Amino acid sequence: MALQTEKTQYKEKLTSSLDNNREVLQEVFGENTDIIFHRFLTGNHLSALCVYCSSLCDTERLEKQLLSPMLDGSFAARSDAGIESFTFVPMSSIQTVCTINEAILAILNGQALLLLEDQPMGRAYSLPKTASRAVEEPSAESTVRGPREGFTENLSINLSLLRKRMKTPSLKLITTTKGQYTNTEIVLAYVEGIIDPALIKEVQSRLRKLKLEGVLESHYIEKGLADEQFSPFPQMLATERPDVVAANLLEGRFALLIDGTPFSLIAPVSIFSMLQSPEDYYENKYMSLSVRWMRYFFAVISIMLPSAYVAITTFHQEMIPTVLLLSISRAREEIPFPALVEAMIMEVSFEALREAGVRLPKQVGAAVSIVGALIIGQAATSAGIVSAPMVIIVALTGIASFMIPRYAAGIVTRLLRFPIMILGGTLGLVGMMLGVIVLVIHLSSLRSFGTLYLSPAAPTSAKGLKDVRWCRGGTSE
Amino acid sequence: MTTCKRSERESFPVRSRWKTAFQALTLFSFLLLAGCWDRIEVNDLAIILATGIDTKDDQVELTAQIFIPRKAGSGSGGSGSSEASQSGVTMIRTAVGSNVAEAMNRLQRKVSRNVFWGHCEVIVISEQASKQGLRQYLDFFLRYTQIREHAYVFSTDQKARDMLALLPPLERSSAESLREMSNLKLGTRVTVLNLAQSIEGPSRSAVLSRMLILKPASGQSTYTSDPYVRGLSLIKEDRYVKTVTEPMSVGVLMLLNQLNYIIMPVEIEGNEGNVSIRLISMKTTLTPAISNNEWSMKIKVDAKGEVVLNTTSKSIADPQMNTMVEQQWKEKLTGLAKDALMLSQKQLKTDFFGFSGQFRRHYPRKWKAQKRNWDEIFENMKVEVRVDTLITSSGKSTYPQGVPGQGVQY
Repeated sequence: MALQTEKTQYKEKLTSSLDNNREVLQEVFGENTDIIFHRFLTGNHLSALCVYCSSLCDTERLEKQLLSPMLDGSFAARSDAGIESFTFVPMSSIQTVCTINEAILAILNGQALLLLEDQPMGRAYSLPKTASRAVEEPSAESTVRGPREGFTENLSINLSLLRKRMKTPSLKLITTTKGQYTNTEIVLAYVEGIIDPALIKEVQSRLRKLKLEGVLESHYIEKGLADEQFSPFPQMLATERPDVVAANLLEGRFALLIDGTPFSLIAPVSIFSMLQSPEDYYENKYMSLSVRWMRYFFAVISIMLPSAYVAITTFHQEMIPTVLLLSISRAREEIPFPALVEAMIMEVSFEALREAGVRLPKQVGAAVSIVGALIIGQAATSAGIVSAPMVIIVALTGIASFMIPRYAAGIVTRLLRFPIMILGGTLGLVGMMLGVIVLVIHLSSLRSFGTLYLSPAAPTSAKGLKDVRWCRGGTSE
Repeated sequence: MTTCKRSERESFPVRSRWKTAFQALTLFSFLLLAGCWDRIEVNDLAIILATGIDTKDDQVELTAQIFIPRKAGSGSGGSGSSEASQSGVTMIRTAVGSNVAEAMNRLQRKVSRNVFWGHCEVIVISEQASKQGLRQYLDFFLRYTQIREHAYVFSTDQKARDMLALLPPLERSSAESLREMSNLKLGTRVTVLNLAQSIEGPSRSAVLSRMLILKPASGQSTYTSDPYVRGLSLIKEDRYVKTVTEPMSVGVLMLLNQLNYIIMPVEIEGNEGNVSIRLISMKTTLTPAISNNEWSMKIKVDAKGEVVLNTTSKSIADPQMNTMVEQQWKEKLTGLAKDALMLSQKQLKTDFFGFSGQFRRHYPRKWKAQKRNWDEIFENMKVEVRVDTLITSSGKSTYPQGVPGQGVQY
């Protein structure tokens, strides 16, 4: 709440007294060492003050483009016209600042604020010193065929990547700021004429209501805007690919690009968006179709397979083909644990292994996977702690969950596997079905910005389903 | 577009939160209270692969062939393959009771694990036991939930127990041998369900494959052997009545439309040697007819075959010769069919081939009216057998091979 009061406090305008303005600003920034108050006399002996944040401003450019023309004699001739005619400064991004609050924000955004004696306003010059990495291939969503550019942490680069793909005035980029302390810029992007105007109104009202202390990653926003807070399912699609954002904008969705993170958010989404990869649209239709169906199949596998195995081997042995049952019973003969415990041990250790592999540096990660493969795969079976069929089941489940192209959706299946496994291990297939029913009830009542999460399957729409089953083909639709 | 529910959530009533928690707790306790009691780990199962039924002084002797997972080689572990062959992966347990259910109950007392019948795919009934009526067994097999109704049923004139005690060198168990043989269609392929339907149906009879125990190779133990198919056991009403072996069994299978794998030697008149024909396909159709209140049956057999051996001196490529072979084969098949009919109609007076079912299907009203007189009608029914034969291939050679001096006559 601190900034709220501060904001109201600093609503007053800049005064014409330069000293007064300086005192106010100095009071705000206090002992910050990186806020520089540079006081000087211009070429025509006017008292001037330049305030900037040395860690954000490009000081070299500041000197060359702002300070030296001012100290120059040529300044004198035109100075009487007031601060708004500071046309001599060879810069394009100039903003007029009237209130103290604006002045503070401008400084913290990396702009250099110039105040003159007897002028009740200031000019903010954008001189950013950008520390950003280059545009790289997105690591979490790589494709074999398709653009290799990914968003970076720098918002202006991200916007340029998006603009480059959509050269139309209908693409609207609307900036807001969120976060009491971080003041992070958030850009709402949509295509006018395609998107439902009510949806935009809804987003903007939700954004307005959203109160956050800080925005360090897109999830801060996602969490705040989500329809259902307690759902494990992601209700917005996080992507670091500009082409995915562009494609979704064209389908009537909106995107939120957030400064400081390469992930932008897309909504409204359904569960099928989570199972689609951008490459589905870049490859041959038949290939994409089969791959996509395989993905649907394995998404189910990744949630159900261990529980189905446990349920069937402990409750419904007659369902297993005879020869397979004989193999399973042979493999399980020496195993000291019940199937449920065995599955739990394996799944938990697999998750641990995966987590360890993700957090470690790449060089060590390889070692982890080798150790894991040896321990889980080989040693555990030969020591008779887990059975070989269980290793196969866990491995298959692991592969299945890796097949889900959206990481956020993939971790949901990892989580849901456990309760369904317990249900399957205690009540058999009946329990598993109970779990699935609860899951389906939840999914069908879930909404992402008003759009039902199971659409277009649950409120069935033939046209929408076409894209779920097949891939949309070019511009024909 | 529905509006956001966030504001609602913020003012979430405390009472309903308690309610939700209570509901969740109730659901969870259902899970804990209800769970696990009928859970059986695979390790606690005695998987029964085959069941045998014998009689012992008026009582039922039930034999179960149980899979021993420990002996079935070390699938896991990787500490070298077990030297012991596949034999010895099954064991048998036998129990005697006044009926099959009691015997089963007693059987469980002799096994340390839960007896599990869900994978019993083979049932062997000794002729001795089926003489006393199959009804009580069939009711049990079709009623007891664990037993599969698709288990194959075999008959044997030896003890079913001995058949299950076999440890075949080739297959995992004698149950598997029996099942595979059934799938090869060497005899009839009858499941429990088929058997019950055919006994309960209008024909009130059934035909089962008759299995015997192969004499073990010298030096092998008595149990290292396989079952083999020899002949058929005929069941009238629900009792065993007769065993038929070749050539009669061939005729019976032919009329049952279940003859599949057979090689038949056919003599050619005026020629030394014979021609052996392998059956490629055979289709038997029954067409009932009632005219002038006279019931008759037309049996049409379509047989296709391939020559696999020709010890005559004539080429099979010769059209005349070909026709002659077809003719002779036809006569042979007709003879077999007639013998089988004779057995069924005159000797045993039992409708093994499902004539009654055909009449019921084609003439439902007349069948209903004459149902009581069916035995009489059947015994005196005129049956016309028509066999069509076709030699489709002469094999790799056309001329007789290995004839000294190549003295081929055209």
